[in-house]
Amino acid sequence: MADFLVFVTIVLSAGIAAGTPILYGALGEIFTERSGILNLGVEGMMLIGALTGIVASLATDSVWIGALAAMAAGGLLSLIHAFISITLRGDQVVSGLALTIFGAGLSAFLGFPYVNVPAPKFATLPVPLLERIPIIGPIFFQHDVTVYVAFMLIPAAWFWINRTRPGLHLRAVGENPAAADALGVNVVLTRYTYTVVGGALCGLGGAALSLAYTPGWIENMTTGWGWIAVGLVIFAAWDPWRAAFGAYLFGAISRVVFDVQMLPTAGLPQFMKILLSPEFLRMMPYAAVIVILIFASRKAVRQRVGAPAALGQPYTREEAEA
Amino acid sequence: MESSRGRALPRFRGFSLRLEPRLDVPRWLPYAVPAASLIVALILGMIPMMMQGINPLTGYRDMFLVAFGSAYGISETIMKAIPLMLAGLGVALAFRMLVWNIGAEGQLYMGAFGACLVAYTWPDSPAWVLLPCMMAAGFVGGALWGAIPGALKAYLGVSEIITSLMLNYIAIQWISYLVIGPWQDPTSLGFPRTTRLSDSATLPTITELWYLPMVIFLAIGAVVVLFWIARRLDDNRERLKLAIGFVLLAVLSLGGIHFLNGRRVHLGFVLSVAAAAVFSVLLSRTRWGYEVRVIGENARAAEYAGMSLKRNIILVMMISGGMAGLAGMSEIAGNLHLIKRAFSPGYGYTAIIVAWLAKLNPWGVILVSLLLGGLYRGSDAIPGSPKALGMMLQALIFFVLIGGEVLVRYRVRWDRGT
Repeated sequence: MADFLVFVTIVLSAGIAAGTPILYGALGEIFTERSGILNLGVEGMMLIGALTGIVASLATDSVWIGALAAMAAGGLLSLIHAFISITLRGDQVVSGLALTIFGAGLSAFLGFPYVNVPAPKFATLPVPLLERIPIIGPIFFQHDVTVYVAFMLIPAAWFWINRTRPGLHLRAVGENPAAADALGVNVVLTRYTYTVVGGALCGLGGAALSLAYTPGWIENMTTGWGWIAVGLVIFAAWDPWRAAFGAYLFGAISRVVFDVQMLPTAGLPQFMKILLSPEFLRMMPYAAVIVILIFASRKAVRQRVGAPAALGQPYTREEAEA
Repeated sequence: MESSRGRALPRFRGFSLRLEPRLDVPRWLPYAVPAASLIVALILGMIPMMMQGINPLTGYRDMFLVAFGSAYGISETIMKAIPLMLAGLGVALAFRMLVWNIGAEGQLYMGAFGACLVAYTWPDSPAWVLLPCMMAAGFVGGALWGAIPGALKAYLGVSEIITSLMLNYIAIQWISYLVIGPWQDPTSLGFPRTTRLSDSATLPTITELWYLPMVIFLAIGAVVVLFWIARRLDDNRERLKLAIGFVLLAVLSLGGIHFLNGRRVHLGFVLSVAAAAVFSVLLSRTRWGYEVRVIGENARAAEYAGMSLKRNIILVMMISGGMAGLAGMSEIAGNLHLIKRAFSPGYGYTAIIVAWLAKLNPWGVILVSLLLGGLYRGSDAIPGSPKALGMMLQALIFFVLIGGEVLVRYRVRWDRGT
């Protein structure tokens, strides 16, 4: 029993650590999508953020500056998407895809000299006193700063979106831009702002990956986690708390997968051995996304909780007047 | 009206940017924009190249020479372009219906799996039986992999974007499992690859032996074309188009055989061009192609007109996936002759760029694939990070083109003052 408790503690603790980069991406995408802009470039922005974090912290010897630079890089990339989808009214799906491919290509090209270069990382920083609480302490309070910042960001994002005046404007712009415009909310400015905020959070997510969870740069190191974040936003019905739950769940899944690999497979039947091979275990998080999206879709149909009504639609006044 | 348009976009100090819908688009503009995008993207691409310490001008020159500067270079460029053509045709079809199949990469791997399953099961059967079976199996492998996101989209409303992408990672892991597990070559000393395909399971290369069948094919074709020109077509313009097309086909095919004789380019190239012809006829001349286009333009109207969205979404995803599967089959049977872990350098993702750059036009896919294949091949010329340079330039072209397309639809005005 005690062994099992230790195992669960380890899995949950590691799940929170692994889920943090996904969580940043998901929170960023929630902000962006709540304003009515669909940005599928999360993966690309996370990759650029991860590389920028490494390069900047190597140059300045400070992981903090690295994380800030990653945010700036993510924000800058998302500005391209904002310009194409808001000002030029281009197709948001295609622009987001382009952003992801561009981010992957650019980071792989520029990151070539940094592959496997030892890089600084955020040190583990247990919270005094709280870390001593049995079970809770090891799970929640023995991490690095990026995890704690994410903890604080969840309620902050929820509060901002649901309980403040700018948050009300944000939701209005995402649900009914014409009405928000009539009430004097600057639709274009709001959408630009939250697209860039979302991009910055995705960049930070990349830095949380390259400066904390798996320190160092490898080509395509996000391995689809940005896309998992985009999927989580749908699963979470655009709510930060549910996104956090989903992100930590995925972190835990990817960690369990790692642990199960270590189990002895000697006495097991052949198909179990195949299922427990590293390749099949690595499929699990991606398969889990599909399964969860299927359940989320059933629920969404039943409860009619849906995307922001104007998600993905460009806004112009002429069309609104017509 | 005038004042409301002016306010539609943010106003920066002193001037504002306005987009006015174009009433009529100049004929040359839709062609000039992709060409200009290409140039702008190549200029922008100089920045990261310089950051990496590469002289962009000599870099581009070297890339061009490696990709297009010699007969060998061109044939290698075509080798890279073949999977892009096949997968790009499929992606373009899906995008026409606004079905966002971004799982071509995974479908390509599953097509390779299907084809090899056949090839390793009956390695000794004659090529004329085995190769068509491998093509069918490759198509089915990709089609089934594409049917999953298609069915989830059609029946449950699950976003096909995310599911098709997740399936990419699963397919790549599946192939990784095979090449270090049950399919690993026992003589490979632990290297993650399968045994070589048997001779009858490899696609033939284009050689001088093809002259005779090609001439016979062209002769039969000439009779058919003459019949159409004389009897079936009543418009002189259509007649001229058909005649020019046929002469072009004859010159290009015979010249192509002469040029590619003894090089590595294989049957997959012919297959891709034929597939482009089939898709082009399918889209513009058949009832189903009309349905696909109408659904893409206005799904609701199409449904009122009695077209089945669900059936078409699944069908399009299956054909799209099948084409990507065929790309995987041709890459394995024509180029690599065995499966390695992660054997595709992102062909499935580049296929998305190919489809969009080609404006979802089948013949455009062929041309753009040759160009982007040249970027893959050309980036081998630059020391450093070869694969990534091509990918980055491709993505840059993609980005600039999306922005540039606005110029086709809108007239951009800069207003000074208020």
